[in-house]
Amino acid sequence: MTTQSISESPLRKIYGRLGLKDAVKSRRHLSDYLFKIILGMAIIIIVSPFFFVLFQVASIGFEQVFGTGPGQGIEFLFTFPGAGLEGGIRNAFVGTVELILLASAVGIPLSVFGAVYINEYTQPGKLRAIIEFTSDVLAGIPSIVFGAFGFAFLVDYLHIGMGIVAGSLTLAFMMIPTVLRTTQEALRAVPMSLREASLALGATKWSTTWNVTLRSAFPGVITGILLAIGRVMGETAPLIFTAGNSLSVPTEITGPGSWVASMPYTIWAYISDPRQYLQEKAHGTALALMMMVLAIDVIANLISRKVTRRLV
Amino acid sequence: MSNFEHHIEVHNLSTWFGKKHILKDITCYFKDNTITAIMGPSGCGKSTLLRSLNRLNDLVPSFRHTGIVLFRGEDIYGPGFSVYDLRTHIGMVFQKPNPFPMSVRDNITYGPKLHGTKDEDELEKIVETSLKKAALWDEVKDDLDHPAPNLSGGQQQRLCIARALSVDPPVLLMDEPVSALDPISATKIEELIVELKNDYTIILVTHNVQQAFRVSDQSAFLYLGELVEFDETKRILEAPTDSRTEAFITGRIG
Amino acid sequence: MTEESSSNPLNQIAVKITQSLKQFKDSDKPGRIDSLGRFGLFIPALASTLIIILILAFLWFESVPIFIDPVGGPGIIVSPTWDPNRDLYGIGIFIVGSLICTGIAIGLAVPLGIGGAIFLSEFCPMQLRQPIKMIIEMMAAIPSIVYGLWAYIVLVPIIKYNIAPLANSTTNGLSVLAGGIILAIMLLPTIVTISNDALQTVPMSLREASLALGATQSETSRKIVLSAALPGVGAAVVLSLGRAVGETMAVLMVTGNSLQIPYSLFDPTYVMTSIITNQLGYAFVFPLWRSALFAVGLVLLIMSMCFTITAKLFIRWGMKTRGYI
Repeated sequence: MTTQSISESPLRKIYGRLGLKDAVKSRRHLSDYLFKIILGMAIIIIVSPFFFVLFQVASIGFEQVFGTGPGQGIEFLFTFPGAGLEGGIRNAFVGTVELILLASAVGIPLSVFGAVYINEYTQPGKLRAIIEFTSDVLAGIPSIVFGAFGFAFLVDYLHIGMGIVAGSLTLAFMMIPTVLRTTQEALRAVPMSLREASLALGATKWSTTWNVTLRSAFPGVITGILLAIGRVMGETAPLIFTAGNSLSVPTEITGPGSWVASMPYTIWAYISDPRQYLQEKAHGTALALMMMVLAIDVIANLISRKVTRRLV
Repeated sequence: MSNFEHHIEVHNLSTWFGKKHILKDITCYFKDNTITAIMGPSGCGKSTLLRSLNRLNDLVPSFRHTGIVLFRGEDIYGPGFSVYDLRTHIGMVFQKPNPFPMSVRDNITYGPKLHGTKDEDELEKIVETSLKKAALWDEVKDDLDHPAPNLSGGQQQRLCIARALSVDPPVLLMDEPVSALDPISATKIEELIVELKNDYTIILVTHNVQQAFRVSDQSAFLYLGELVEFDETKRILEAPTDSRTEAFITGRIG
Repeated sequence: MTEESSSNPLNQIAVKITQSLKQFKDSDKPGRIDSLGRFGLFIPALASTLIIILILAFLWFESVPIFIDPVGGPGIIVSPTWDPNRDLYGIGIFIVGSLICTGIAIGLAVPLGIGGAIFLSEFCPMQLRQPIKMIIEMMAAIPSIVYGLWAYIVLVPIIKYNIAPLANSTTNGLSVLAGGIILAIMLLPTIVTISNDALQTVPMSLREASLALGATQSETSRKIVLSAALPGVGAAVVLSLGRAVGETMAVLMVTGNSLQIPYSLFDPTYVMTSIITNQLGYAFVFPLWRSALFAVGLVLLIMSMCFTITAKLFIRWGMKTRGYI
């Protein structure tokens, strides 16, 4: 029985791996084989820009963020820009952190509470459909439109003026749809029996929602929040007309003293400047920003993967 | 090996999924134009045996086998053998109805189109004959363009049978085709299977002894991956030679 | 409740409020916390709706002046000349620029992205799937300004020195092609991730049924899996269209921002998001100029809303024709 021995030989195994043996059998086998090869090349083309971007940013920015010279390494993040914009990017780093903290303080409660309301207190129907629809629409609105709206509404109409308040409120608006939808998904994944068990013990709807439902949905909610933060952290366009720019950190709530720099804005401002050291600073800022955003993304993924594992 | 007697013969087949030994040294053949039932308690390897016959197990990366399966005298796992030709000649009906999410007509014409039938009239004829053979024509002839998943469960399963018949395979594999259906649809499909016997070699997996008794001519009884008995259904059910077979028939295992 | 009062919506609301107030008074302490909490949560639930309404209202009121002013009018949407110094506020040129860039990006990203998603879902070796997915998710997280930086420093020179000479044309590299390529790179993660999710939801039994009919794996993936997942894949494409039109920083940095209609891939252009970013800062003291910029914003907003709605309708249509609902 020669066929049997061939089907077990290691050679056949390697052929099978590559699929080459099959590819020559007929035209259909060949086109099947080519199709897979082409798709494999597509995925290589898709992921390669990630490495191009990382390489470009790191090759110039590494010195800034991890170097040991003056104004490099940890000093890069924690010294203010000096004369001629030399020095660090403390203004942008602290500015971004402050903007994100303020935006989260407004955006997260709004969206988590909203999601709890529509998921726990409404039946599927018109109201829920409207809220879900509007948050989907909100998620699709271009960031520059948020910027223009923040400018028209917050800065101009409400007379808040440019600064940290208008900037972070604009970012908060952008966070709402992401957090709302992911929280909703997480709440929906909590089994009904859990709520019923709590209610059957005599707990009120209110305490059931907070102590049982929201607690078991917590990992999903955190993931949504982290994803939203990672997204708005890199936004430039909404801040251009709402946050202003500054070489130091905001000292006031309103007025020019509240103007605030941010890392994405700083990259934009520095990259188009012909001065060599500013281009390098732009790369350093980009590397730092990218590391922050990717770290948040990885943490979010770790948490959410845990959720899915636990549910399966 | 060339002067074969039957469409499908299995010689000393053993299979593994990873380290798990599923089928142990199975040797059997499936007579033409008869219904062979593969019986056994759940987890005994019935489906694995069935899926070895059209190489659907190949989808599982950890699948391994020894022994040979012959289709018309050719080793289907042999190096020169085209698995796509094999599957064209061996139709399969699954446990749960799985119509494609497209119209009834497209479900039937999918197979013939793959294998090069382009002529509209011919396709139309295939649709009609396949659906008639599956006893579904009268119910759906006016709704050929409706999405297939909108049909009832029993209709969906008959559509799946019609789809398998569309490429006119000499052999039909059926993996518990009625177990997911209501009793009335199940009876209808059982009757249909018996009718199809005249034109097709049918291999039917079932864990239902009564069903095997009603429809099949010969039976294979599998227990924990071993082929315990293989003979005429009537003989096995009336006078089982092995105590395990008897235990299964009388409902003590299963 | 009488017939009369129930027919009037205002009365209905009033009745509802008094009823819940009465309920509130009658209930015990936990019950009161319950209904207070319920009310307290209702307000945030409306936040997204309220913001949408505010955005629409503000963009509308800000852009009304240019639409009713004799030098503007609704015709500005198709008029190609933008020169605020001469009171010419045609925004058509920006719409065309945006559409061309988006077209190039979609043309590159859709075939590539769907192909990649099919590979990831159908053919990718198990050990590689998770790492690739992770890289693609990370690509989605990279800020657009960082993509812009890379495109400006690396891609633009490549187009100037390597690609343009191939086509016998000279350019400084800032072009619709650069905009299209960087947009495509930014859209790919969205398209691949959403499409892959859609492909993964197609039940294994459909693939088996197709293979059992003698189809090859590639035929199965194209004709059965992709077709079954088409509502999701189509939605991914439409949503990415919306993102392409609205993308700001990366495109701003590489398209050259020149007020001309591009006739070749190497010509610069000016897109909607760029004109707002570049000029709103100076224009806000000039009512018409500012209003025209908000009109661009309004067009952007309406386009993005249309894309979202189209994606939703497409999913519904696809589910219906496939008998899923």
